[in-house]
Amino acid sequence: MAVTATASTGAEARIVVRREPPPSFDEVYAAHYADLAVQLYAYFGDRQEAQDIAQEAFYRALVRWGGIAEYDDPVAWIRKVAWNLAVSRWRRARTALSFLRRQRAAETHSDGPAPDRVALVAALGTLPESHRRAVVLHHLADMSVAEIAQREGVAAGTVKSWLHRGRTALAAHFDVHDSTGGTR
Amino acid sequence: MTDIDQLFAELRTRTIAEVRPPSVDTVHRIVRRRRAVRNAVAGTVLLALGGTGLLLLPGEPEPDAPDPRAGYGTIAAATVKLDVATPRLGALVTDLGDGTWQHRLELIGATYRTTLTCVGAGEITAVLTPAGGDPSRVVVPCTAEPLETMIDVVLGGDLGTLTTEVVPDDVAAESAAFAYTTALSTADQDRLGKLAGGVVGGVVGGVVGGLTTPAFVLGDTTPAIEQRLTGAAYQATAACAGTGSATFTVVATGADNTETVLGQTRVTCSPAPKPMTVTVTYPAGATALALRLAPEADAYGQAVGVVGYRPT
Repeated sequence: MAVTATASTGAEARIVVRREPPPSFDEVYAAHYADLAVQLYAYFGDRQEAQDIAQEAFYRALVRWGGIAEYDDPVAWIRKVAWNLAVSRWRRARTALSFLRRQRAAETHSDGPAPDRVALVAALGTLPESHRRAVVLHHLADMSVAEIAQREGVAAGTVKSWLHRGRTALAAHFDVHDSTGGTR
Repeated sequence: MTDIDQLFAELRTRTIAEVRPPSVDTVHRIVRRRRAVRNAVAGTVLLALGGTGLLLLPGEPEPDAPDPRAGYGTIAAATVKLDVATPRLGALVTDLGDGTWQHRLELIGATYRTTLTCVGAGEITAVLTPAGGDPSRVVVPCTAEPLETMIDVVLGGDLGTLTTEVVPDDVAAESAAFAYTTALSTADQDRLGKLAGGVVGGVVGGVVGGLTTPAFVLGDTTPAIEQRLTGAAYQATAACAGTGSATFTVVATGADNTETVLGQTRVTCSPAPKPMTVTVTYPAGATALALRLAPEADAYGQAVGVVGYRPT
């Protein structure tokens, strides 16, 4: 939304506000597909699965684009759908352990990602699901503690705890420094 | 920036550089393809239901056709007996496209039977979680001929939340409608009915010329005593076992079928119900007396009422 003009008549001042035209689906897709795929990759540990879910989320947005384009943040809607799909698919897996084993094995044998990235994704896979989701949403989706708390239906303090524990576990895994707690 | 932040920044930068987004045309093609499948399914459903207005044939998609899920929703709601206008103890969803859908009901502690159905194509996974209890999971196929799937859930304590979550598969997300209703188990209806009946019977029972209704679950219909009376004064009593509240009304019907409210009071529904008694003077010219107990929204479907009267 943009302020395009102001008019003043005596003591009364009016601000005329005009909405910017909503973004096109193609623009949003081009700008955000890869970022969403990265978030889901960090959560799943499987880049193909991540891309499939990202594409499904964008498909669902396109079907309803007339309404979603009018939202203040259409990307937030797409991200929410993508994460709902991701969580659902995760829960459908028989056990987190067997799933992680499968994903890690698949990723280790792929010839794309560099070893440190594989190690980070693998380390994320060892975190409890809620911790991992909070860490990924915070660090890769740039969501604040309050936004994650609202999304997960928990108190902000719970999210801070998840983030702290998640970061601490990752820091120990890589033997690196984490002095901030890193929460916004 | 800490080292952890650095790791995530590198993960993001390097992975984004390698992700090759499918062409946006691919997404547009998926929309067209799924719409075609959905319309084909719609034709199949209409055929299965013996519809006479079949316009679509499988393989001949009509891109601008109305969304068939509205029709599926009508079928789904009728199957589980859901009042779509006031869906108090249940819900209808005709667009599961957001991936997951969740609904919460505040209920009295009891055993409930939830009836679910899904009309269309694909399947849904429903997870019912009573507060403080273990979730129950059931897979419901979405079919042209609606099927009922029933699941019993025990809700402990006096009051609690029953959460119903539905996760559709990719086909059902675009090609199905889902409905469910939750109702007190028969055993709990009987249990609450005995409580309410005992309370009302304690007031009006054993009196010649008196009458007590069978126990009834408070719902859309308003069970009532409609009785032609001859006396002059009556004691009318109601009791409600469960939760919420109800309105107890005494109405006289005149010779020309006009109704006059003689008295109205609120009855609290409780696991330990108490009688609510009003004294009624039978008006001259009246031909019948009616006692009605209608639920407020918070008692709907989770309270059992009994009404009765006796001459004084």
